[in-house]
Amino acid sequence: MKKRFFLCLLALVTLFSLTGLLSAQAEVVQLPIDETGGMPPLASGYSGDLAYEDPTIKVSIELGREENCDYWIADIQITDPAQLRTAAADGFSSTMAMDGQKLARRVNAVLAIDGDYFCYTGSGYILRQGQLYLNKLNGDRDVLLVDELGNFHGRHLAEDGSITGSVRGRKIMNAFYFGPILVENGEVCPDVTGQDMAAREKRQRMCIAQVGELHYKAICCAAPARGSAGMTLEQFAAFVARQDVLIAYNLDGGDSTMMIFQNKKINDVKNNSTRDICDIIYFASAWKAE
Amino acid sequence: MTVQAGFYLMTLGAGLILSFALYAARLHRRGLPAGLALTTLFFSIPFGYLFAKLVYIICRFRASILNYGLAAFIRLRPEEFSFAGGAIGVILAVAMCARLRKRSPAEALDIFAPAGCLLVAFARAGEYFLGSVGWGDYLEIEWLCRFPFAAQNRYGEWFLAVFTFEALIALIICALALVREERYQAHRGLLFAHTAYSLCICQIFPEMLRAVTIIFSFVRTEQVVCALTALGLLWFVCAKLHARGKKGAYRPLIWIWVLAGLNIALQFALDKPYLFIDPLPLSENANAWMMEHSAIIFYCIMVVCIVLMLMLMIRAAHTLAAKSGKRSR
Repeated sequence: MKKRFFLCLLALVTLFSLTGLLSAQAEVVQLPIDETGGMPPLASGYSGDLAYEDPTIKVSIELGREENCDYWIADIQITDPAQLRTAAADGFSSTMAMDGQKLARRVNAVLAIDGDYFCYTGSGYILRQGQLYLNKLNGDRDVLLVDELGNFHGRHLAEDGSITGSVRGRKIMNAFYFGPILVENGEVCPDVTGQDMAAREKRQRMCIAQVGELHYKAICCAAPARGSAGMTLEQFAAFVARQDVLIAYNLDGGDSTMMIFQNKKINDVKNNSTRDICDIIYFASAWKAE
Repeated sequence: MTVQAGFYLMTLGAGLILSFALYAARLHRRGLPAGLALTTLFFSIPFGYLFAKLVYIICRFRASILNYGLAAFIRLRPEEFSFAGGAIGVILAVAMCARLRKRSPAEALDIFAPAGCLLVAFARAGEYFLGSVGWGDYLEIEWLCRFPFAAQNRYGEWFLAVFTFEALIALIICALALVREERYQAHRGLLFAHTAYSLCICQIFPEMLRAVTIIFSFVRTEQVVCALTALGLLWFVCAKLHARGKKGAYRPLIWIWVLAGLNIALQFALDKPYLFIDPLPLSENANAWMMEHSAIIFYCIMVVCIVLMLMLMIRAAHTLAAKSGKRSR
């Protein structure tokens, strides 16, 4: 009887110790809504050069060619909206630009893309990581709002005062001012060429899209050089719509186009000169290893 | 490194005191009233501020006036001032004060030239306290990752300290101005023209390296202001040479346009190297090597361009000084 009691006690102690050990080894953390980065990605999370997975984030990248132009599609699934984040070279009130790859490394980005080059326009709606920096809209561009649940909301040609800091009762965490909105409700927007953005020229393009709840895609195409033709905005919008996305928003393209994985630019790799950029949008891990 | 405006103002204040003391001493040595320096100092501060703001506002009209109205003139964010504009303001104050005292502005500017360089050196060195304003590229070369070569941000990352490079250049130009002074005495305005030209031309390269700059339509406007000022100064010297009967006096102007054009092409090539390298008849390996080293190659050519631009003025100014010297003898 005594022996059985001690065995039970030993089993319980072992169980508790193991539980404690496990929780000390790894856990999901709540990333703060500020300019700090995410958790460092796990080395064991990478499978091949184009995929990463841990309990909080799953990224897979697909390369292809369409309409005589190379493209890159990153499919990202996260478990918490705070894992969709933004970072700037020297804060969102500075106009500093730097190498996007170094910026991605600073914040432990699993996948990063160039943002809306907010420091160049000097107008618009700059709200990043929950903090408003500029609210000077003039109805000339579409705005993308990302709410606290990580859902995307487009605002066509947003006028001054039309955005109040929340959307459908939810706080806006990030907003982008480049545009236009390429796809809405799964359909190509009727007038994607109306806001210039060198719309009729074949260029390098970049967009961010929402596929479902906490499920996103970042899509970019190559420049009209080195065997690729580039894409007009209409071509790009049609291409993006075919990727089964609900809403997609055009970001800064041209030579700023940058998709960064494992802290390296993976698009257009033969062109090693990358233009310095002010900001990135990135997806971070919330998995804290031991 | 965050913005420490108080320390910056203290450095700038020290620079103003020292440079205007030098100006006063030089005025006194030339038998001119040293009090002119004090009057000039009084006007230099508002003029420098006003023109630094004005150039910024003209270049970034939408981001300034349209966003903030007239309040744009009193916003004290360091990146919302044009350094070149500030320098123009101070130079105008020097010329205006000389005119008010019924003295030759050209002579006053000659006397002020080395002091102006000293002021530029202090203003640049003070950028140490302005956070990212004077920084260049991200640095990974270990021996460079220390002051004065680099500055560190709050994340522990190092960036090239462009401001120390610029301060050093200003000090070298200051020393050269003091050396040239005697040779250029025979022609009023020549010492100032050569010194200001050197400052402007030497600013083109570091401006390219800056991570924070005033951009209008993808153009670094400080570079444009410097280039236009340099062009005007070279034109001034060429016109004087022409007036003294020098054949082909305007030839340096043609060359500076050629070199400026090459510089613009190089800056474009730095942004889009593949457009320039891909059409070259190179093997795949050579092409890849060129692409990898394109930045260093283009930067080297740019430095050669800048040296040639400096030589244009040296030659023109020396010829003018010699001709003026002969005439005065």
